[in-house]
Parts: sequence; C-alpha cells; structure tokens
Amino acid sequence: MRKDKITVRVTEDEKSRFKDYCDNINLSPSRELRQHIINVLNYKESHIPISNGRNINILFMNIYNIVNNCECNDKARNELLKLLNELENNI
Amino acid sequence: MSKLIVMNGRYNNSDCIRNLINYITTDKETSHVLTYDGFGVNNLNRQTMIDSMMKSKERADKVNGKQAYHLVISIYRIRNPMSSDRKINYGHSILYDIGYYFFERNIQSVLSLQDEIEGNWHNIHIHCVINSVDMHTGLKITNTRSLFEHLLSMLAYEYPYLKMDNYVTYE
Repeated sequence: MRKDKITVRVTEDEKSRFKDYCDNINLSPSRELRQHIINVLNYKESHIPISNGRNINILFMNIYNIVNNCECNDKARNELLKLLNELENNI
Repeated sequence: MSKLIVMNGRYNNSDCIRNLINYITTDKETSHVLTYDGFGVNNLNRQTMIDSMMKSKERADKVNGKQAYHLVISIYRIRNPMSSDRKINYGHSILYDIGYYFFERNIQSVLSLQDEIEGNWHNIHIHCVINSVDMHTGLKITNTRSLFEHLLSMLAYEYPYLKMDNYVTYE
C-alpha cells in the first residue's frame, strides 16, 4: 500500500530513485524513515497536513537525524541526502 | 579551565547563517578544522547544511531578526598538562553531546572541532552555530541564558576532568 501511495504522488524520476534508496539503504528504522518521507512527499504534492502534530520542520529534522546516523553505504546515503535537499528546496 | 563562550554578535543579517557556517567549517591560517557535523540538518555538504537552516526559517516565517547564535567551547584554554591528542578526543565527544543537546530541544545546529596553533601549543575548541528558531513551535528560541547555562551544567557534569568554568562567558 505504501509503495502505491508513493507511485501516485511523486514523479517517475523521484519514484525510481526513491525505490533505489529504500532498497539500498539498509537501516533498521527504515519504516519510520519511509513514513517520514511519504509524509513529506504528500505535503509537497498536495499540502496534506502532517498527522500526529508534527510539522514539516520537525519531520525534516527527524529524517536527517535518521539518515545521518544510519549504517549504510555512503553512496546510498549521499544519494538520499541529495534527493532530500531537492525536496526541501522545492517545498 | 575550559569555557563556554557565547559570541555577542548581532547575527541578524540575512547572510549570517551562510557566513557563520562557512567560517566555522573552513581552515584558516592558524586554525585547522578537524571535523564538522550538523544535527537536524542535511549533512551532505556545507551548502545543504545552510539550505536546511534557511529553509526551516522560511517555513516558520522567521527570516527577520536574530538568525543564529554562535558559541565557542574552549577546552583548556590555559596551558595545562593535558596533551592535545587527549583534548581532541574529548572534543569529538563533546561535539556530539552538544549537537544532541540542541537536537533534543528541537534546535538545528552545526558544530566544528578546530585546532588553533598558538605558538607551540594547540588551542582545541569547538564552534557551534545554532538556528534561532525552535523547529517544534516555529517560534524564535527564548530564554537562551538558561539554555546555555543548562548546557554548561551538562558539560561540567559529563566532563568533570575538563574543569568547566562556573559561568557562561559572553564576549
């Protein structure tokens, strides 16, 4: 379900890159990270308010904290950070 | 004795985040950057750290007024028997403790550990730039004196051997 949700809300390019990141990035709290990113993407596409009282700033803070601290290969991390930077700059 | 110094600059111009982050993460003639890291910001590179802080300010609509705070933690500024390698080890640990101290309070920060050569000895110190906006509330952070005093207490408790000064220094 989550993946379907992503496919309808992001561009084809973002979709394929995002899938690669999630496949490559081998980190334990991946579900939390994915959910955070889905929230950001939803917000970007349709400005859906973010649930649980979180705002977009807190969301980004938490995403960066997870990504910066996860144990994964540097290439995957850097690619994900690049996408997140693009996302953040386009919101 | 080690010190926590709050720099008294106004830091209210629109470029100050960029200038500060560039300043603390760049080698200078007598000062060498050993490491730097961001907390709650995009750590990809210097520019993404700046982008993260600036964008969060824009989203909170807090682009005017004070933009940042600049702290310096000097590890044994006065000559002492502690070797510079040991001070650097402490510095790494303190850097992450401070980053998470602010992160837990929903404040973005960028920190750098620097080795400044003064004559034939090394002044190991940490520069810390924090965003003036609370990410949770979207408001400017207030009561910074108690925030910094609490940080000093935490450092004094965690690192008794460094003999932190009893007071935050403003200069």
